[in-house]
Amino acid sequence: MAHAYNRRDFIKFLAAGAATGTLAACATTSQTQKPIGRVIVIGGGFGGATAAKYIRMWSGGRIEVMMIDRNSQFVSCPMSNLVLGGSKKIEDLTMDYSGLREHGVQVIRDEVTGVDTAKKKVMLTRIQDLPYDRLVLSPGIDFMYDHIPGLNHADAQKKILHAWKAGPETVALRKQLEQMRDGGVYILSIPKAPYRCPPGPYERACLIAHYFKQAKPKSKVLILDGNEDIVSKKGLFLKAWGDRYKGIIEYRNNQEAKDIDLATMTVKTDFDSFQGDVLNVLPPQKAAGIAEKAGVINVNKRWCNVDWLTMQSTANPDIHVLGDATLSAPLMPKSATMANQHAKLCAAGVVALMTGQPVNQTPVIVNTCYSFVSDKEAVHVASVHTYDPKDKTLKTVPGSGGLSPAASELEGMYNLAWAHNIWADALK
Amino acid sequence: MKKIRVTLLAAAFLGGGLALPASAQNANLDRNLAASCITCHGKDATGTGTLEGVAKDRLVQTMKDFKSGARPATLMHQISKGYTEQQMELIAAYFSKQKAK
Repeated sequence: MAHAYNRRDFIKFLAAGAATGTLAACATTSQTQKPIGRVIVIGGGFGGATAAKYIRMWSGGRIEVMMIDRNSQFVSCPMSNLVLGGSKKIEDLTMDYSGLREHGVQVIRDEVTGVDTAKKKVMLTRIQDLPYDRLVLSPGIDFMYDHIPGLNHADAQKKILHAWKAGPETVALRKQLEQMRDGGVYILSIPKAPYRCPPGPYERACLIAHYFKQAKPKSKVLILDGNEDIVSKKGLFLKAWGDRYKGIIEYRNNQEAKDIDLATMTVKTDFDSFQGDVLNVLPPQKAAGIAEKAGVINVNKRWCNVDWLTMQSTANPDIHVLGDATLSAPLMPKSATMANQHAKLCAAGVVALMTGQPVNQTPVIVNTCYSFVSDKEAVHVASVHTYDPKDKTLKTVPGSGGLSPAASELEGMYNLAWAHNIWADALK
Repeated sequence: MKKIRVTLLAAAFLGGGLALPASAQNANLDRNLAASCITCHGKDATGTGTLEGVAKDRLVQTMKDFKSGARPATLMHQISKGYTEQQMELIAAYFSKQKAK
């Protein structure tokens, strides 16, 4: 079952690591115990980093783990709306992977170009192919630009940003907002669900409105929602908009972006056109391209269906898929907390499968999504999900979960604490 | 019961690839349930408090009080309602055996 871990592979790998300078630490695999096998994790976000760490911990260091990401640092999407609002800097959300190396995870900075599922190896741009026994894909999302023709080329994408992956786009969008004239219109276009972070766009509207209120009070936030209604925390967001941002935030439902015009800075929907000073268009989303190359996108050409007991792909049992790329179970959001919880289901599954132990049949996982409604006050939605063996999926436990009764500074503090704690769980 | 579980865990650890009997099915259930809590309550948790090293009875009682509403909460009353008393016992026993920082 296990990939034969031979000396040649190891020396080849060491050489590759030395050449690229990405291997700060070797696996701290016990000298006395032979490794059980190798797991390659693609993607170092909330799902991948957490899975890499927990597979090392729960295997007692006996499973070799390589984690590959194209970026050298972790940048958190949660809290990135605070950067747009001006109360945090991108540096506050940027962390390195040194803690994972201390767990013996071999962190490799490279771009995965393909997966040979028959030979069980991963192809990369900088180093040679890496064989695996099990593959963990936590690839995140790609944008379906072809659904918005005017945005389907590089020039438009340089000016009309999504900032839905935290990093340079977050910083660039903040700059656009700072440079916008007072009295300008910021348009936020939301795709039809499912998309990454259901309450995220509404939080973004709040924080940008909060910024406008302080710095350029004649400006407007226009939300063009592709959905029939507010997708998450509806009552709480409506209250914030009514109480705090009256006259600043305008909400329009059923206004899916069908096209944009770069020259006139216009978003076109089925029957209307909306002109703005800053356009922030979130295109429709699907599991990232590497999932397609690995052959595990098997629902609507968009998402990856999984066995929730182990997070194994229903298309290929050698591959586990985590996070936003999965076809979500009922009432399960595409959130960082869920990716963290997927990672633990995956780690338990990987270790059980590779050591010949039975798989846990009764998992329980938790979701918590906080959203800021101003720079200090937040609200939450929480849910608890347990496995239904009859329908073979995770379902919410009746009577559990719920929303905040109202926004509060106490929950604003808990929101920041949540971020620090989930970052530590993934990276330390 | 607990003794059996610990023995099986040890066997799993030492045995490596050895197949275990079906009775070991839930050998790591306590660890797996507790892992969900660690997202917010890990060993370096800020703001929410770590659960590692907390006495079992105290943690079970706290969870029960959240569930019943006896103890006010912003969020934990909603999450504790997703767990049975048996699951709370397993989680609390697991954390009580972890070393506090």
